[in-house]
Amino acid sequence: MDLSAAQIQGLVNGCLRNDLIAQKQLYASFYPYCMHVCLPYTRHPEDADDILSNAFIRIFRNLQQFDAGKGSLYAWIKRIVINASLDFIRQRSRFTASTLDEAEGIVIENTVVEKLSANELLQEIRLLPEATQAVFNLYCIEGYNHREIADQLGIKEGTSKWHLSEARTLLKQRLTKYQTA
Amino acid sequence: MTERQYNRKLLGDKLSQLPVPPNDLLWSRIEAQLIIATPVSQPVSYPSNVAPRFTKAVLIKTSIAIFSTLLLVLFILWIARKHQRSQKAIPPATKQQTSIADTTKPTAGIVDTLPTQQEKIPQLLPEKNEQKTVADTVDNFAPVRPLRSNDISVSMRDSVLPMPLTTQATADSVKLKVTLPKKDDGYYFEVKKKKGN
Repeated sequence: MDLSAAQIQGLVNGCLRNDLIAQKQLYASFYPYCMHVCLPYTRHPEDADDILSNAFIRIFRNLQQFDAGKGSLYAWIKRIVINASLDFIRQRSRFTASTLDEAEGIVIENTVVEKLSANELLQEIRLLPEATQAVFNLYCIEGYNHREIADQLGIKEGTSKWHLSEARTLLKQRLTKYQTA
Repeated sequence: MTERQYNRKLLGDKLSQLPVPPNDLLWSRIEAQLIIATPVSQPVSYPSNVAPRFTKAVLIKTSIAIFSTLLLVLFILWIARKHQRSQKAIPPATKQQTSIADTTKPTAGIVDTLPTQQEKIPQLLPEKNEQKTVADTVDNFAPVRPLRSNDISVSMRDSVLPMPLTTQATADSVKLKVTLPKKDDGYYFEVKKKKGN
């Protein structure tokens, strides 16, 4: 997947000319990366296809806005995939009106994460309620703080904290078996 | 690196181990959307000074034009049908009519009168003007003496039939009995007065 800067620039230029071959190459190069970003936001594999279809269309339509001087293409594409994922979740679920004053720190203990396989971790994340799942991903995987999450999701900061606390509670109950193992 | 950062790295690394096989089907889906969504302002599609062909307004105007044309055609068909019916509804010109021998069978014809034939097989009857010609012809010589077979000729479409085999003529009408050639689509008769009679 690692492309050189020159290769990336070549792909971008081809895509800007609406060259289907360049677009397909960009898709093939970034598909696994995008899928890894997208999967924790989904509940089923077909959800990921819907999100990525939408995300890649946005990528190709807005590629002229990409500025290599401001950041890498990976970061730019990741932002689009996350936005597409959040749009997908917004269409399907609502965020609670509950708020919480304090919710910081890690949600899943490092020792537990190390014991989990990739698929087990994904399944545990997918068992969270969708809104809570989104907040968990943004906070624990993407590294956003509650203010940033609240801005992205259009919710209160306290609501973001409540969802993170909810994620911690639910995951702690289910992941006990991995702690004792 | 803080504990949270390390936790984030662990989660990210773990999730990046998920197997992701190539997905050509998804590319086909995206490709189709890209082709459909190609903006009309692209140079390959239209010059910048030319408006797109299929705007909403153009589509609406086209639809209205098609609908109007359809209505006009239906109206013309309705008028034509009405005209055709009115022609068929015109009764025979006079009571003194020349009888016509007619049948759709190729055997000996059964003599019948014109109105009856109109009702049975209207599509085989002569046109309006031709009926009038026949009636006028009969009117002209009927008062003089009873009709005889030699007074008239019978033609089928453009060909002249053999003379009627038998006749039964009165002052008002003449009954003809003829043997008709075999024909699949029926017969069309025209009865005319012979010259000199």
